[in-house]
Amino acid sequence: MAILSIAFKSLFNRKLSFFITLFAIAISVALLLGVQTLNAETKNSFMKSISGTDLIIGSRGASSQLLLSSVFHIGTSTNTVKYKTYQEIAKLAAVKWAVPISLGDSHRGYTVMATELDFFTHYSYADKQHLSVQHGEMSDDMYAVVIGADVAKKLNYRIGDRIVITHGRGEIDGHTHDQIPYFVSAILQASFTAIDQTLIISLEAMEAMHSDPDEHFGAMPNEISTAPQVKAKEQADPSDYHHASSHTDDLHDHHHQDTLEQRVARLLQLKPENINAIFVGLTSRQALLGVQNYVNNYSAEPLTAIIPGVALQELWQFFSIAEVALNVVSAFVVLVGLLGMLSIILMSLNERRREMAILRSVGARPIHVFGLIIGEAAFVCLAGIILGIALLYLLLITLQAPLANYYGFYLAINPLTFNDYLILLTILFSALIIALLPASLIYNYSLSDGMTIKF
Amino acid sequence: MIKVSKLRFAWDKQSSINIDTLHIKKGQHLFIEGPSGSGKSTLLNLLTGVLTAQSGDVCILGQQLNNLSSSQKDHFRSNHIGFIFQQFNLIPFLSVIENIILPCSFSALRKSKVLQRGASLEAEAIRLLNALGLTEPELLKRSVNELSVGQQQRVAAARAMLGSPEIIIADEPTSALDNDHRQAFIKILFDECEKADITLIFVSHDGTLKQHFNRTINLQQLNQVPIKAL
Repeated sequence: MAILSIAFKSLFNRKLSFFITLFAIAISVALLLGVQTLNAETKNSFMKSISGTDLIIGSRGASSQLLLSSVFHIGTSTNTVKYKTYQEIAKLAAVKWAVPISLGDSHRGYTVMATELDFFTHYSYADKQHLSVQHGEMSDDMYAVVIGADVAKKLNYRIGDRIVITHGRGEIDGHTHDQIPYFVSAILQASFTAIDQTLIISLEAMEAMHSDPDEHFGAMPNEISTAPQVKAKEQADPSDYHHASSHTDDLHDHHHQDTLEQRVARLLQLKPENINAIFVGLTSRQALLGVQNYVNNYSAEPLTAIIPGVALQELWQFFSIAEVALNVVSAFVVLVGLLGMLSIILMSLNERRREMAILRSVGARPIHVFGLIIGEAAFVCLAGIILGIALLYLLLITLQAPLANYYGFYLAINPLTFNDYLILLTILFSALIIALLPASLIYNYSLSDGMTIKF
Repeated sequence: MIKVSKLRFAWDKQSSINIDTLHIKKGQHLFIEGPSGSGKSTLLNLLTGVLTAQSGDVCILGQQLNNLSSSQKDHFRSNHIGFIFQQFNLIPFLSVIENIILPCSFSALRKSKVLQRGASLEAEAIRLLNALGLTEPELLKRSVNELSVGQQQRVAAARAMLGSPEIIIADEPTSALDNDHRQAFIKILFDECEKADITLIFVSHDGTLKQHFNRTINLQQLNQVPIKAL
């Protein structure tokens, strides 16, 4: 019977404390790895928010603010760029495409972004993936709204539903532009970017909404919205929603239900005077700095051009403080787990002093006794780590669907990284170092006690 | 077999052992008598090389213990000496058989001696148990904690004898037993030691046991250190 099997039997003789230690280490390991995974995935999803766009142009200001407002739709974008400037920039030789966006309106708490139909051709995220349509179809109709996957799910909107837009952010104090109902033409696939929580309308529609037709055309306040009837109809026959034919019906319906304002706006086809940002794609990467320089020194109005990748990196630096704090906390949790193991081993020593004396009397050397403790610590820690990894993946698998559904955060499940293995190795190594204390204690006991059994 | 000369040992400069000569012959059953504090445990630890004397020699089976490193001494001890203690000889989480064959995990020599005889370790352990009067097979299934003290001491004796070490050192092995069991235990121990030609060193403060032995040493007389008042 080898010393190893004695070590195991001794360990299982102390089942309760063994399992407590095991779970303490497993939970702390799962936490530490979980924080690592979460960090990596958050960063990943953050960095993937936009791709394929070479420059984002906005009015002069902090690059992080422009990035936050244009890509993440966070913060108010009161600073605007003239539409004429957009037209000038789009004409530059180095500019392959340019798409203007205008923000500032909301619908039941969700951002409304006005842009051109080209947006869907050029805007991409992650690995140059374009936004794709889940239901319905893109429409060049002025009052068509394309809604993000989350908007559709949370507000239970279907193709053809009529909606109204609020000016300003928030549902409460905004002024409702209920004169102009929009209709849902397409629902996008979830992209796990800010687009999921966004409604996209045309620039012309936004301009029509803001040009305050009440005064000019004198419409009656109650004349307008046909939305309730349509909604009722939709709900009475929900199966319609899946039929491609119903979409065209709705589109068709829509033209007959145009309000006065809508008809006027349709005729005017007004482009807005101001927009908030311009997404730009260049003909070549070489032109990047030149165009950025040109825009930053644009004479007609003060502008800022940011390179999305660089700005994302800069912004992430800001979050890295939280990342460090989380790491430090979880490292301490692991340390506490290991100290728990230490105290449990130390407490067992007195009881085991007798065991060690017996082993000594049958020929075990002090180094065996030393190895017994180190081996036990190594085994408990290794088992804890393996259990911890299992726990982590169980947690990731369990949380993946709810996170994607309720928080729009896609948690990719990846194998452990080299860094993770390094961390685990460090934990194991620390456990061995910590176990040196009880091991050398019992080594000294067994030297001084010899075979004399002390109680 | 065992030769001790001019052995001096002190705990923290407090002299504890001072023995000029002690010779123990092969096959002898030696009774070492002495009250508590007379240095019995110290002497045993010196004889077995657990403690190293400040001066003097211990020579066992022709081997000068002083010349061995501490791991060589450990190795030597596990090959040639079996132990029986006063109480709590057994490791609680091992079975009776596992406890008996424990020395073979550390001593290849004793293991090979058993195997040479053509018996497996388990069979030899059972043979020794039977010889020591533990014949019921259901005993083997029991946890060692459920054995009576007398049974535990016999299991310990079987362990000490497994693989025929040349020497068995018994440190107060009977003090936890009542008188009847004590006599029976000593008799069985003697028989088995004689059969295997094992030198037995038996240490006790109980002078009434010395009648069984062919040689008795009074440690108080042998050891030239006065006993401290305890």
